[in-house]
Amino acid sequence: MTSMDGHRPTRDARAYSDGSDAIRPEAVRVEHGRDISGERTVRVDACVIGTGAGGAPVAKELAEGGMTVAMLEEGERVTTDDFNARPRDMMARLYRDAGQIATLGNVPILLPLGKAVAGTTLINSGTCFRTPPAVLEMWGERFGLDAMGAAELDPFFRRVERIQNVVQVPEELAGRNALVVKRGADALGWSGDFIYRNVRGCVGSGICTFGCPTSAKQHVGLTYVPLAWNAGATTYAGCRARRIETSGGRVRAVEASTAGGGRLRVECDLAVIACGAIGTPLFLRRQGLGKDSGELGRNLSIHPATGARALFEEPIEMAKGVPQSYFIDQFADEGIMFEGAAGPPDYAAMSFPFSGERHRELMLSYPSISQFGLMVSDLSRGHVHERGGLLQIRYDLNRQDTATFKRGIELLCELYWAAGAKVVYPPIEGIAELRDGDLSAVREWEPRPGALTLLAFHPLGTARADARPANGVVDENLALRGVEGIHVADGSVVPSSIGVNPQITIMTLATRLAFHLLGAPPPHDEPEPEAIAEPRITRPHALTA
Amino acid sequence: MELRVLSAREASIFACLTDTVVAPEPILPPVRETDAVRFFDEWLSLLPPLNRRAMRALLLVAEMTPLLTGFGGRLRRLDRGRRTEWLRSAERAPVPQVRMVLKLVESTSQLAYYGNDGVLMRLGYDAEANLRRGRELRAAEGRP
Repeated sequence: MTSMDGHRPTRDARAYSDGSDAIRPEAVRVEHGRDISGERTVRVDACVIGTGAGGAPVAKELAEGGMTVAMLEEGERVTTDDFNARPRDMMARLYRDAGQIATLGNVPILLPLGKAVAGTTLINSGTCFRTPPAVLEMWGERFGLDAMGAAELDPFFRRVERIQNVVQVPEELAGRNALVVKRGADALGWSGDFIYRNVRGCVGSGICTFGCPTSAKQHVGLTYVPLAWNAGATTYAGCRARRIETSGGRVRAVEASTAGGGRLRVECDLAVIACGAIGTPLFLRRQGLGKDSGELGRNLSIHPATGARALFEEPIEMAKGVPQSYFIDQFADEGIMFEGAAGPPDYAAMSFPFSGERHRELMLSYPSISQFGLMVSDLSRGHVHERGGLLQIRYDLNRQDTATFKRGIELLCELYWAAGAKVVYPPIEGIAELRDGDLSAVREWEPRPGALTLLAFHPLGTARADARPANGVVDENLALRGVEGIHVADGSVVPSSIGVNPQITIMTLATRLAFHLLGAPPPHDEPEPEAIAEPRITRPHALTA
Repeated sequence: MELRVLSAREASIFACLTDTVVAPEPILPPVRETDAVRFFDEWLSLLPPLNRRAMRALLLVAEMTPLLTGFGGRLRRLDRGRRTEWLRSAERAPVPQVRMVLKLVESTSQLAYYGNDGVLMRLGYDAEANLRRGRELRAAEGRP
């Protein structure tokens, strides 16, 4: 979208109809690891490991700033031609370990992650929130990250939002799933709004998390990666970084194994690690790097989430419209955010309660079922490590977060009653369904983690930034302590739960890092958005609970 | 059906288990008329080796548990009513980990079955039409 009078339109319905202004690469600069069977050496200024929400923006900005850049990606490059609009098949193909990564602890939590060029942005909902100012303020107080204040980050937020084309969902594409929930929120007087998302030409295909079939959702494989190519960067897909070579206290090279059984050596002056909050601590630990603070792999927050379902006497048709199009932030200060969680029948089938006949009856009612999500800004913390070469993510939901879930589920059920639901299905083992506006079963429930059905989509914090060397793996400029020339740019540096979806936070911190590495001033000339989402988070839950 | 990972016996157990979990009745097609088993086989091939072995082992556990817990036979020897009784019993297992693992297996069966094109269509989702619209928009507007 073009900017007007120094402002960028964010309520322009064109973003939800016309995709003709998509970013196009001048050339697809991808080398496939499957084609590299021998040894190959390349020399660049910067090697970026990972091509998701963190890696792709860094690569693009460094390349545009004049550096030669190589982007290493363990997964393959997939394009819209590879998507088949079938959630079941896409989950198997686009998700790491076919969607079966889960935490171990007092309640197992599925943690879906992407594995391809564009990382998890390929399979997220496209929801965009800036880091709440109150959270950034807390980072300053608690982690010494004063340089990451709202004012300091503002130009970087604007830049990311322009490139990603962050615009608000119009009501006509929000889908009935969102509209019935909005009806309930309005009846209760709760605060909420249509979500801002990164799209160009969205028509509400309803399957954002399984590969957008219209190329409307602007995952970084459609934005930052082609812009990086246009500036001369090359993506090496199917190349898994194995080793960072250092000497004299500086990075010298990154070595990767290729899908073709070969070896790729990238000689570089800078290495930016962006393997995500699960991959980055494991990679650093294998190198013997980043361990001095004792915080590597620890402090994992995930925004655990669940959802409730409700049967209506009206058509809902969850597969039509934008699946995550509305949010309710009335209780954000309690660590509770409600966001849409609609999807096609196979996606719904996995999350619906029951089995056998009752599940079948519920599925046959699918056209009249609504599903809405509840996300908790968690106080619980987990850790990531490897044992015998196997990934282990340990995460126990603590008592406070469990109580927050109880509160959130009760509110969500209340919301559905206010919206006119006929039956409500809370996500609590042992409470099959609620009828006639009744909430007593949920209110009387003695909360325990094991009775909840949870997922999580936002791993953060495992190589956290902190200005004090004893407390953080990276410093306020995301430089890895203990060796020159290595930086981290992904969710692992985010030092706390932020209470909102983190992709814009990660992209913004990555952009700021790139400007720092280039010695460039912040991009103050970026256009102001006409409007942005401003969730009612006035007190970071992590400090106040 | 050519399978990548599953043996014919394992495929038969998964089909039986899925029939128990999703309990299809008209208008929904029987499991054998869907590609649920083929999907499960492909899905297994994409899992890390340890997870794959664990899932295959769980199939054998599911096959034998009804016999070992007093339901009168292996899973595939029981009629649906008896299998459903066994499933209800397993869902009430006192050990939470057993219930969690069972939920994983049930979810896999539900995904495999309800992801079938014919089943999706009966519930109002036309994947092919969604895909076709995407192709047409991309062609018309030059989207990537």
